Amino acid sequence: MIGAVLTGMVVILALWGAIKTPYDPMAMDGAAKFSGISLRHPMGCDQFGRDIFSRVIVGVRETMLISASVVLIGTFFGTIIGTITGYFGGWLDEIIMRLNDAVLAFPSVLLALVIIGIFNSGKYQLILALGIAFIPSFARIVRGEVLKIRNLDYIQSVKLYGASDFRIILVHILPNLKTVLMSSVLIGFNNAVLAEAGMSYLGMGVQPPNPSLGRMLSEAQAFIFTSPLTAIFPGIIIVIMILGFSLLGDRVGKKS
Amino acid sequence: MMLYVEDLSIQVRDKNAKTDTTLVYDVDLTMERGDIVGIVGESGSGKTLTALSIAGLLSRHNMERKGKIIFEGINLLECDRRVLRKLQGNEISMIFQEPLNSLNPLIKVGKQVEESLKIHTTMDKLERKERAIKALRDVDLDNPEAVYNSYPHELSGGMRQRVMIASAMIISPKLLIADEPTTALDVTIQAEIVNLLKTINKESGTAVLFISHDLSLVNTLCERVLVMQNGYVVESGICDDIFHHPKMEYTQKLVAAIPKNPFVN
Repeated sequence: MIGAVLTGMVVILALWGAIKTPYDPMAMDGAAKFSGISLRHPMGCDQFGRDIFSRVIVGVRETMLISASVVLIGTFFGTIIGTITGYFGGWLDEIIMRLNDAVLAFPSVLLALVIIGIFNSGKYQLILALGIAFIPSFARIVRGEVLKIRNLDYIQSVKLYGASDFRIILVHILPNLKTVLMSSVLIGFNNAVLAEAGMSYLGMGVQPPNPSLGRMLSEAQAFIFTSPLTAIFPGIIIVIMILGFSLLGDRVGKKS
Repeated sequence: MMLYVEDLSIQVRDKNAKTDTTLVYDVDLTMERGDIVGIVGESGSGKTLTALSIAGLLSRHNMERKGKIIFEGINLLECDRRVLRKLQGNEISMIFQEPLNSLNPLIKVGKQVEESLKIHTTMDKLERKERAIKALRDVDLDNPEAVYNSYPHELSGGMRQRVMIASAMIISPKLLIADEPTTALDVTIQAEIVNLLKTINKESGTAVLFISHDLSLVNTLCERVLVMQNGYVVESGICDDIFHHPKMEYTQKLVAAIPKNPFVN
């Protein structure tokens, strides 16, 4: 319940950011530099006099878009790979899963850094890099589940009715993966938010002057003692986001 | 001769230990159309493996089968996968021990009963539905339309097993393999299911290969029986003979172990 409320808040923020912001998030105002909380600037202003509230809601939108795309890539390819290897087994499974292990052996941020190093930094490169880094864990989860389902009697009996492998996978196995995928998608989304923030903090993701939550944190670093507001609000929003999705993920996991 | 099994042996290879374990030795079995044959034996005696290999459901990895399984003139152990798949849908059907796991929990019962029609025939939706409801009625389900539209978890164990029989019989197979179909059910339902199998056999002429560890059930249903122990067929013949005059010590023990059962006679 709390999870749903927190998540709802963040989603509303993101939607708001997509439609309209109180100020242009990139507009600088020298007079408002480091100004504190006021009616005009509910979260204060940063070192260039940009409205932090406007930047936060646009940042939330960016972060969510990136995380959602990353999880989408991971889930889509992870499910395909996991289903094929789990269902058919044999040498194909052996080869793909060892490759998978190799990818899994690198920390995902390191792997993403390598990919960004090859393709240059930027939003879409970040999505691609993190997406690739997320595939192996999804592939593993799906493979395990498919292995379990594959040996259940109802798969055996539709096999006996002469169903083709394609039909068995599409009609009888994939729908049954839903519950497992649901909770791992939510957990994966959390990890993606953190990874995005981390990568942007390192300057690899969203490029300035565009805001993203991680980007804002990294820019605020220099002024954290003189003007803590610049770091506090993006930080709080990240915490709320992660907490909301974690609680939601727990609930989905418990329900199934 | 419809089904002819000769010298069937099944070996499992342990990849890591590089050793072969033989689980079934030299099983011989013949069945004519309309026969009811039973296989009895304790857990691990190889009766289910034998059935699965006749149904073509044993995985082709790490498992070696020797001998012959000839069904309507086709050797199931050597034929092409496509031929096997065609036979599986049209001529050989199987029902399993655990009716809870035998139905996909996310798909309505009716759709699952129709599955083989969908794969093997060109019937349209309405025709399939009609056939499925008829099949459900044939297995004595009270309200076939309601059952058609329900999910597996809404049915009792006995009803699920009837649904399984309906979906196995919808294509009127020549051979129905029943792998301990009554083990998970209580005694009254057991008797009903056995009677249902008997009726089906009489009316449609489908041969039934009935696998059980319960010798008294086999005796009420089958004409002939194979007794298996540790992968070997220790005794086979007419059911009455074996039931009343068991020759082998193991069979004698099995017969002596039958409790007096008021529902099955």
